Amino acid sequence: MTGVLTAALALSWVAIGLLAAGYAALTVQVRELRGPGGPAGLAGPARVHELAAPRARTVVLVVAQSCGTCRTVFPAWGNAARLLRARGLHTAVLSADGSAHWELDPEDRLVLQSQLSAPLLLAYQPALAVVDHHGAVRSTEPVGSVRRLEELCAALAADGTAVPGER
Amino acid sequence: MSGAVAPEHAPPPVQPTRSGRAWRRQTGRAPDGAVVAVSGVGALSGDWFWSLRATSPRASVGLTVGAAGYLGLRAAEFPTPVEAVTYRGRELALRSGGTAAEPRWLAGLRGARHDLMCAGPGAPPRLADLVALLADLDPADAPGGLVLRTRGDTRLWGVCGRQYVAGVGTLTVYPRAEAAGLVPATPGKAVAHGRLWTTTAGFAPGTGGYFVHAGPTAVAMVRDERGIEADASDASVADLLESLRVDWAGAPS
Repeated sequence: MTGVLTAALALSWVAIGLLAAGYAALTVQVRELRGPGGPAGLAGPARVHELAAPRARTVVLVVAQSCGTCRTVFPAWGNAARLLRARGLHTAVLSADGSAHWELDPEDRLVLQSQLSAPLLLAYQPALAVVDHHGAVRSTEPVGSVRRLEELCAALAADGTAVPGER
Repeated sequence: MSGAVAPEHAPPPVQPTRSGRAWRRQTGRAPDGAVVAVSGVGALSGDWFWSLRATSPRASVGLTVGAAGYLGLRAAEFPTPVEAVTYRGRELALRSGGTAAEPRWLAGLRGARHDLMCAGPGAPPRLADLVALLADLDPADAPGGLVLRTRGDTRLWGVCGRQYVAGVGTLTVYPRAEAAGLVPATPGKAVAHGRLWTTTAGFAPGTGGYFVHAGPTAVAMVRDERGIEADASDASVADLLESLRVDWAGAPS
């Protein structure tokens, strides 16, 4: 009888050990999945290769025709974009709803959402997105006024590595 | 979202009322998904106005939800437009007001059926933070109400709904589980669908007070506007309070 109880106790401890090891392994996996540097394909920035430019970041104004502030902000984009290009950055306008009725400088690029291999889905417009030379979206920021657009672009022009929105 | 359904409210036996007003029932879906029903003899307004708080690791804010158009009325108190974007096809606008010494701000998401608002003292917040808050709240506007489908660690609490009852005053409904502190310890008066108390609730005598109506699932605070609003009368107050029924189904767990 004592032998059976001893064996049962030993088996219980083995089972507890296995459960603890399994729990620890699962915890590590959950942390990896939640973390900013998660496994490729499960986390990390969105990629829009069509907006990438060689050896430079691209600053993208995301607009839609149905958005009132987009129409207010867009006339100020010309000067802001020229300032950014003068500092070596590339610029583009992404039409989130596919509308092509945005008149740009010849040096600027109009990209339609439908031309992207993977859509850049933002809940809001207008937005200013910064895309690196790999096509990775480094930041997105809502642009609620002409003043905000000018502030964000001035910060990017002063430091091309700046992340819009950070104070 | 809660799968709660509106409790059935049967009208009282047909009889002449003291105020001449008819029995009415109003049902609304609270922002946390609860279904709230109010019925009684009186001019219930039909439009719900909800207040609640949202807490997440990034923010703790007070929110209000009103019928479409309410944002326009509140915006009049905040005359300076600050920023605006289109959020999921709806205008998200940030405005400022108040005084130089005491500035205030109002953020509002205009909806087809309901407006979602958030206001506070001080300088306006960053639009990016409001967009992040909306992503956590994930509002869904429907005819029955605007429901917040919270994500992550965001929690909703302190939900209450308001109705204006002409001839009586404002009626505010709370889930019974969260409103125990509003119910006096004394037995109160038995009425058709609960118990009733009178309280000055901090008001000086003669300047109005509140009636507290407690049912099994909800507590209502009814502002006594007799002597304050011209159309508030003893008959209207008596008709409403004696027939009042309030239910809160699917209260937050």
